Amino acid sequence: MDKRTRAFQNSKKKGKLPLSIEQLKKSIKDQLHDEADLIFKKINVQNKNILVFYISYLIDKKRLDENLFTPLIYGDKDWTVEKLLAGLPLGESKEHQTVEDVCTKLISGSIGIYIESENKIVSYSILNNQQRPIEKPERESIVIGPQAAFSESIETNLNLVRSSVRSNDLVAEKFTIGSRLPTEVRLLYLKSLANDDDVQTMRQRLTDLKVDDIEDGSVLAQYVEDSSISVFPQFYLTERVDRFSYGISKGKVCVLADGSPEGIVAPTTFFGFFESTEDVYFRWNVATFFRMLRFIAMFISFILTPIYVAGVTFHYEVIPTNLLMTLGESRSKVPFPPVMEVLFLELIIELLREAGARLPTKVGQTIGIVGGIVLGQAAVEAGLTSNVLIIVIAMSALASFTAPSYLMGTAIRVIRYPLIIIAGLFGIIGVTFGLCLLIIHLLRMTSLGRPYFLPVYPFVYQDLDNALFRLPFGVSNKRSIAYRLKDDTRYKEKKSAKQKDIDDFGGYNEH
Amino acid sequence: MNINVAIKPGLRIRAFYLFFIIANIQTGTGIMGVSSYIYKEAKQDAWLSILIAGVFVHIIIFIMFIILNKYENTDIFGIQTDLFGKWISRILGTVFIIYLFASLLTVLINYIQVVQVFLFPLLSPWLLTILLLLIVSYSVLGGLRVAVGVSFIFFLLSIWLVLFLYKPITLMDLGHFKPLLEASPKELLLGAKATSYSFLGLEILFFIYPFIDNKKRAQLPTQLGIAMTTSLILLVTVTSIGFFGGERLEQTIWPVLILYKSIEYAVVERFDIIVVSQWMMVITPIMILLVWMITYGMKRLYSFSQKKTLYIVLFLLLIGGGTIKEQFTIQLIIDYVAKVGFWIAFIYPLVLFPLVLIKKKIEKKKEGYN
Amino acid sequence: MKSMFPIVCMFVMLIGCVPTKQIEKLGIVTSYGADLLEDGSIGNTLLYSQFDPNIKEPVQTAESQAHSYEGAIDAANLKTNYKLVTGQIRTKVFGKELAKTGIVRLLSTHFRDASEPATLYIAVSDTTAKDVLTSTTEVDLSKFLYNLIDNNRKREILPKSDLIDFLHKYDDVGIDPVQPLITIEKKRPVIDSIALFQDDIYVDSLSPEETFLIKLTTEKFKAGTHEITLPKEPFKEDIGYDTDKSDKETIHFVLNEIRSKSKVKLDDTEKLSYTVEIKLVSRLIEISEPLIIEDEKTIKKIEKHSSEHFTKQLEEMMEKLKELNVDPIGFGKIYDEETRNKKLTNKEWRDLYPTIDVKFNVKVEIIRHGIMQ
Repeated sequence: MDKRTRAFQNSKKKGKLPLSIEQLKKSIKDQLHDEADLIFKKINVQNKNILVFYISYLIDKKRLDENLFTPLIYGDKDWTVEKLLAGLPLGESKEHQTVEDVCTKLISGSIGIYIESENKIVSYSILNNQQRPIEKPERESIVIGPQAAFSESIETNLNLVRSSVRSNDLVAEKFTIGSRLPTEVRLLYLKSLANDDDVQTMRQRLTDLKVDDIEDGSVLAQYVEDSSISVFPQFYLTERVDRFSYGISKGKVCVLADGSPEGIVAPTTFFGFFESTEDVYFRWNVATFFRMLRFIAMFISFILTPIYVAGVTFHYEVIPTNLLMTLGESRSKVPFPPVMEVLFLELIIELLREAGARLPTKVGQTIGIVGGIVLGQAAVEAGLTSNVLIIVIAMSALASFTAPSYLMGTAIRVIRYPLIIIAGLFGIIGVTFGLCLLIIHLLRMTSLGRPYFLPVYPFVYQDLDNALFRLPFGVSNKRSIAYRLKDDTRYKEKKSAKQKDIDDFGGYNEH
Repeated sequence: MNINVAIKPGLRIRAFYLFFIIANIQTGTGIMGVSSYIYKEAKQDAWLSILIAGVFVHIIIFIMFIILNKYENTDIFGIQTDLFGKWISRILGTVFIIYLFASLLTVLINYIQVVQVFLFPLLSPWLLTILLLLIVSYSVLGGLRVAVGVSFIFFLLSIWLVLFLYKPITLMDLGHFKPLLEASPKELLLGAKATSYSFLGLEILFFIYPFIDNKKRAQLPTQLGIAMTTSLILLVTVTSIGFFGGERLEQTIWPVLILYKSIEYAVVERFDIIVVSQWMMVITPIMILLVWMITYGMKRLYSFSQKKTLYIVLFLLLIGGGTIKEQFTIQLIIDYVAKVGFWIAFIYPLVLFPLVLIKKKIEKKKEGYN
Repeated sequence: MKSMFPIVCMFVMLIGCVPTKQIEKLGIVTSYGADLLEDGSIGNTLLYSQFDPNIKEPVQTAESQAHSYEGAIDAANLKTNYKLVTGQIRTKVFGKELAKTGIVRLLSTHFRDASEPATLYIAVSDTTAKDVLTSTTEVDLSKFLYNLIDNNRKREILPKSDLIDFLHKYDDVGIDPVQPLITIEKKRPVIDSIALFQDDIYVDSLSPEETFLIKLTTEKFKAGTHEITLPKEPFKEDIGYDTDKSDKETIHFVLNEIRSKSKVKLDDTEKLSYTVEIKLVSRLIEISEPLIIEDEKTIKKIEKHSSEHFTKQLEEMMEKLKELNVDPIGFGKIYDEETRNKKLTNKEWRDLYPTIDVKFNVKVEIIRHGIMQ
């Protein structure tokens, strides 16, 4: 247990063993602030008073009856602490010297057994864990490949990860973070692969973290990130088990927090956020196409509306004549300057998205579709926006959702706004200025101390495969070189096949 | 001041970035107007002048490497201290830094002028200066690694502009190059000298050398960088001569932008505007590298904190960029920088070369006696 | 530095307003026409597009009087409720009278002023520019004019002719520009012929037939089409007798997919004798008479006669050009390029030009004659 937690609890009144049954009862009640569901059951076996106590909603009653009370009462033994530890058909047992210790166990789903006038209390964990079943990932859905998502229970999550990374190399270091509300956090990595520096950095950051409480894995990620000013996520947060284990198998350092369905994968590069596990499941050429498509989509998403604003506000001469006529006609009914028009429509889109996310699924879908069509049409007819802009905005909104990482998608949508405003102020010069600043920002950023813009800068051409595009597995047999993993070869390259002439190939099997 | 500099491994950069650094720092606003300068001197044989200048610069780089390799891990300040002693080297170093600042200023005001002419005639120069300085300060604060990264990425992001020169190339009139080899050797050399403003920037090698990781392989990327600049200048000049012909080229201040003006596409009607705005990505790395050189130089010379120097330089640039407005003044400053730069960047290494050789020989003899 | 940020932002906001040019507030000038007025000033006609939802016709006309191009726009601004901008100008039309006084003063602004486009077409009106630009309101005249020239250029009917080409030829010594000449037919502007310029001064025009010849000597054809007329006499024996009932003395051939190459050679710098070699490869697609093409002989005959036909035409045209002292083919340029250490001046060439001697050497080759024999 963490030192701080212990210090926190030591400040409370101490109950020293041995105690009488009644004293113990009172002491526990005090500690747990008269918890209503705290059950005490006193039994007498061979003239020994045994007190069994637990919080009723936390424990598995079936196991309590079958594995505890049955042997305890019908065993008819002279129970001592040693016999309790050895003689009950239950797994996780523990001895405790103080009442406080037992109480912390009680609230995490244990039962306590005390034999009067003994100086130790025995506890068994028979937690009745309420958890939802493993579901399909909702935020990062893909078409082919494994369809398991993390749930809120760290045990289930560890179970899922262990069963997809079957190796005794997988280390799952345990940390407890949070001084007031401690949360269990696990640091997972492959011992034989992950870079020691990375592991050490993450370990250091986790141990140095002094907060009272972490609400979620995403909160933890924010606490241990490199730069808190940036809008860009620096660690990949995923609810997909396969994405998480993919990270582990690539030698990354991964973190799971209890109570959170988000796994943290670090370090991640900017380009990594556009990588989906689906790219691995697809054929390489198709995957490369989709990867490229996502990069283009990202670019479109944050550049299209600023360009529209810049063009329509300042640079009429750049717009092709025919398009200019269409644009001019649709703009002529709009009373606002283009920046306002764009911001207004972007706002509508954001509202629709936000509302769609908050409302129940069925209502949300309807709002999304109906809202999009009806509102857009109405806005044009009301002369609030031009119809060309509707297309432009719709395209950039759509494009922003193609990023496999939801956090990256949101980051892209957010950086669009300053770009739009600056385009409205300074035209195309402003857009270039914004882009320059953005790129420099990305260049300055790090993820777990590693450059964020890898492998483009620092330029590592071997790593371009899997970052910007995907090569066939026959060629890409290397892991990332820039991360200096312990072993960067995935498998030995096949010996190059002898150059064959046209008719030297086997042909069809006819026999 | 120590002659040799110790650089932490984390701060070093790989040698191959030198290609981008050199190619980037040389291809500034100079390239927009260089063709008319050369044409004024060498007429239709300007291309030959450029080749001569290119070869000359290659030789200079070669000499610079010989000088630098004589030492363990040093920069221009270390060499000067070794040769001339503490005080003279400080004076020389200060001259160097003033020159760097002047060329930094020309890059800024020249770009402001281009933007005013092509995009926003009424744009306040203060504003554009502030925007550019924001970019510069943000990346210089990130250190040399970021500065090099910016020059690398921005080079890749702006080199595609060259591809679009194909349209003016198809409109070229090869007759403009005839009769061949009409210019006298003197005219050719004057033409070669006229390129000097565009070739300025190679002095960065004297500053950045200690930061290079694998020094043995530094020569090739640097020479390739020079070759890249030479071929870009060559391409631009040949295209402009072919496109404009004599008199009009001489009268044009920025022939390259007029070349881009003749391009139109279904999506973009006026390409020069794209080029001018995209040019920000060409000049910001130059400014970043120059500012870095100044701050680094001040640290080496006077142990002045780099942050302080940065803010002072930014302030001076802001004043300069905001107040210098007349086309004529700008031209004058550029001409001066080109003249001084010619001596500092091209002739000075030639002066240093024999001095370093002699000095090293004497040292060796001394060691021999001992 | 962080505390500096808001200050910098404030500063930027204070000085940071770039004047906007929102498209809906602009009158976008797409065509410009200039005519010479009696008092020597220039009468301007502008076609501009504006985006007013209440006005049905998108293209409006404005007229003004000034001495320069930029001045004309300025003056016209007084007459419109939109801000006239010229960044999208596509065509400039000059009245014949104005063109006779030189037009380059109204064009050089496109290379001087950065905000003016450099890709636009120039045309000379047979009457006045105003006539052309006000000929009809049924179509978007700007678009019509632009496409009229653009399509004909792309179909290889017109030789290279746009602003860049005009200024290029104007700048170079020993070559003169040509640009399309526009007349009005049935209230629509049509390309009638091409205008010949002496430097930037309109001199005369050439017929479409001669336009083809100019293009043949100065440029390469990639897929041109041309109709030639030859005398019937030599082909009499090849015409199917039953069907030869027409009394015409001539026979027409249409050559298609013409690919041509030309080379002008200066044979003697002293005597100024040139040889122009032209090779024309094409396909025969239409013949006005039922000519039976059975063997190579007939084809050879056509080739021979059309070669002679072209040579003759070219020689006639050359005489005309020499008489006009206009050099659209650029003999002077070649002379200048071949002579070392001497800069040819325009004046010298005007004196020399009528004395040059040009030999044409045309070779026609017909590689296919359709799918019939």
